[in-house]
Order: sequence, then C-alpha cells, then structure tokens
Amino acid sequence: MTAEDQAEQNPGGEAQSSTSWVLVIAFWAYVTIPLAWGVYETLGGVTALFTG
Amino acid sequence: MSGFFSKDRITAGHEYNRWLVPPAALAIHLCIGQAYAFSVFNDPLTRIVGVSESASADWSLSTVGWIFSIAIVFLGLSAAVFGAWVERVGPRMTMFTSACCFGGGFLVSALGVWTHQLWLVYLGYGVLGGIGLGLGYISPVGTLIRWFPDRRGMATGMAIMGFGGGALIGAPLSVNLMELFSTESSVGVAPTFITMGLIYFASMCLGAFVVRVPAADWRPSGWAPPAQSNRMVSSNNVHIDTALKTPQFWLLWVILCFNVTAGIGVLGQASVMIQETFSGAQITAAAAGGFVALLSIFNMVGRFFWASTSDYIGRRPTYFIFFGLGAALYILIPIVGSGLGSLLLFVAAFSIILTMYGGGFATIPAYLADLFGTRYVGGIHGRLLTAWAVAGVLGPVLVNYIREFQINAGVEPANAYNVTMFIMAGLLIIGFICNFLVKPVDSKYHMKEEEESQAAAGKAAKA
Repeated sequence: MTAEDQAEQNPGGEAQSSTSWVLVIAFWAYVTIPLAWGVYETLGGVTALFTG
Repeated sequence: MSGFFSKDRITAGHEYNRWLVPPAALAIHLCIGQAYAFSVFNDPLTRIVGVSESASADWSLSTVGWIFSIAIVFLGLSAAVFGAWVERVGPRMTMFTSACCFGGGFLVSALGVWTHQLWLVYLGYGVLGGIGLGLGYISPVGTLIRWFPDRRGMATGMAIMGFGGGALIGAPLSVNLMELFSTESSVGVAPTFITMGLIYFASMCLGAFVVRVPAADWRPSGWAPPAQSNRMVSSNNVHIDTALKTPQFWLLWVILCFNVTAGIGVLGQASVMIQETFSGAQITAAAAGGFVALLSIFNMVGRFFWASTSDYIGRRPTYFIFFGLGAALYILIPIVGSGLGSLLLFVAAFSIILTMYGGGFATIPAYLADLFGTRYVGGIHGRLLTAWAVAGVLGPVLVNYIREFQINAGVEPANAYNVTMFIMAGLLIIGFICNFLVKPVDSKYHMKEEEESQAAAGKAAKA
C-alpha cells in the first residue's frame, strides 16, 4: 500500500504538524508537572517508613 | 452554546494529534482523584468553631466522615445512571458538566462551612461533587479507546492512573492551602474549598476544551484492525442495555467488586494495620503514614503498568495474575508479618497487592471493549462501576469488623488481621473462577447492522 492509498483510507490519520507536537508537549507538561510535585511530596512521607 | 459542546463540533480534523487526548483525560482524572485525599479535611472540619480544638458546637468526626461516603455513593450512581447520556452527548459536554459539578460542589461546601450547615457540605461535596466524580471518571474512557484501538489498555490506564495520582496532588495542596488561609479565628477550610473549586474547575474545563472524538472512519496511521485471531477481542458491538443481560457483564462485575474489595479495605486500614502487626517494632505514626503514602504510589503506578501489560498478554491472563498472585500474597502476609516479623516483606507484599488493586480498575475498560465492542463501552463501564460502590462498603466492613471481633475474642492485635487476609484470598479465588468463566459474548447479543446504522444516525441527529 502506498502512502497516498493510506492517506485516502485514513483521512484523519497521524499527519500532524510540528505545531501540534508543541501543543502535545505543552499539555503533557501541564499535567505531569503537578503530578511529579505530588509524587515528590508523597515520597517525602515514605522515607519515614524506613527511617522510623 | 449546545453547538460548542456537540459531538459534530469536536470531531477531529486531520491535523489533530491523538496524543492530546490522554493529557485531556488526565486533566480530569488528576482533579477528581482528589476525592481519595478528602480525609485531610476531616480533622479541620471538626474544629470550625473551636479552631484550636473541637468545641461542643463543632461537627463530630463520624458525621464529617459521611461527606466522603456520600460522594462515593453518588459517584457509583451517576456513572451508572448517566452512562447512556455520556455516550449520546460525547466527552466535551460530559467533562464540562463534571467540572461544573465537582468545582461547584467545593463552592457549595465552602458556603456550608462558612454558615456551619453540615447539610450544605453533604449536598455540595457529597451529592454535587459525587456526580462530578462519576461523570468525570467515565467521560474520557470510550473516547480514549476509540483513539487508541491499537493500545486500549495503555490509553485507559493513563487516564485512570490520574485518578490514583490525584490524591498525591490533592493532599499536599489542601494542607498547604489550609496553612496559608488559617488564622487565629479560622482553620482556613472555606477559602481552601473555594480556591480548590476554582482551580479544579479551570483545569477540568481545559481538558474538556482540548478533547476531540475521532471521525467514524479514522484509524491510526499504519494500523489495521487485526484479523479475528483472538476470540476474546470482538469486532461486534453490544448495546448498553443488552450488555446487562449477558453473563459476561455480571462476571466482570464480580471480578471488579472482589478485586476492589481486597484492596480498598487494606488502604483504609493500612496505618493501623502496620502499627498493630509490628507492635514490638514500635512503628511510629509518621512511619505508618509513610506506608500509606507508599501504597498510594504503587496504586497509581499499577494502573498504568498493568493496563499497558494487558495490551501484550491479554485482559484475561492479566486478571488471572491479579487473582492468582493476589491470593498467594494474602496467604503469605500473616506468615511474613506477624510470623517472621519481616517489615520489608510485609511492605513489599502489600505494595504488589496495591499495584493489582489499581490495575484492576485501569484494565477493566479495555476488557469491556474487548467483549462488548467500543460503541457503548463508556456507558457499560459506568454501569459496572456500581461494583466499586458495593466494594467500597464491603472491603472496610470486612477488615474493620473482623479485626474488632478477633480482638474481642482475645486474639493478639498482631494476629487480628490473619483471618481477614485468608478471607481476602478466598474472595480473590472466587474472582479467579469468575475470570475463568468469561467467554466471548454470544452472537445473539451483538447489534445487527441496521441497529448499528440506526444508532449512528440517531447520534448524528441528536448531535
């Protein structure tokens, strides 16, 4: 199957521009940064389990 | 306004990147996952009048405890009742409604705290917030499965991991905000509720505005639906109402219920359990808190890990691992805990169990999509979540009441959980049998071609 055939069969396929990838990275950062902060804060409590 | 939320309006064009959908789902789940951290408000809510200590006019801990319980009941009810509506209106409308309910629930609760009217807090966080939880929980599931037909487990695992991770953000955020807003005359709960309500509303709306649904003929570039080599993955759809008539739905209901029961009771009682089991080793309250925190992290990680693993090994084998390994670990815990006195093995065993608790939640949508097709999977998932509501009562009751019964019968606190562990193992063995009984859905339940066309036309008309 050629690329043209594939594009015809899959009009909404993954032909994303670089702009869309910038958006993807920005939105992922938006959700992962708070999550990383939450994990960091929680890990601070976990150390107490092993240090008493 | 309804046009802005309609399915037609949010059908993706060719330039849309499907990797925007998981963070949109996470934006919802990371917010509503705060519910698991609601207990940080329990103590401050009993000191609204007295501030430094509870006064006679203050609410008691037992009445405050009902706020979370009401929210979980309404989570289950709304997910079950609004499942068909969610499928009809699409993810943007559902996510926005969820944002209004969840964020609005905080604001109504703040009013309840300010006026010291507990019923307003029940109505706000419990009823409104609970509906927001249910709608938010199921809203991205069907959409993710349609965007990632090649990685159903991984996609839903990412979103449902957010529900586990939401507590990790919600707990320190709540504590920091209460510290910021507290004064000599206030514990700072009301302004914390307002701030969190606004933050969560904004964040959830962002997810709602970014989410898109794929076009009907869309599929990932270079991917073609696999030939029917795996009987456990159906290419047919089952109607949301018909699904309830199949034995597969009820087998999965029991599977989810018992998997959750085994984990949720432990999560609720983990702090006391580790202190009593290792009473000779003087586990401090801080160390016990660390144990709970560790379990929360494993609960979150397990959601992504196991759901993604199920894409490679299959849903049924994944649940065989949950039930087989889980039952073995529950039987081993009394031996390594009160028997050998090994804190490390005790913590390791529970950490693995909690990954499978989270994994059970995260893998079930893909299991449903495999059996019932993708058309109504969001709504069917919503109805299956009633199993969560039942397990939410069953798990803590089993752990707490059996412990109390054992202690009253003169059993040492260190051994008071042994019987419970064996009961949990028994529940998991029943789950194993139910999983063994799951077979492909009989073709008589599949939607016929004309029903599919009618459903598609109906959806288009309503959109």
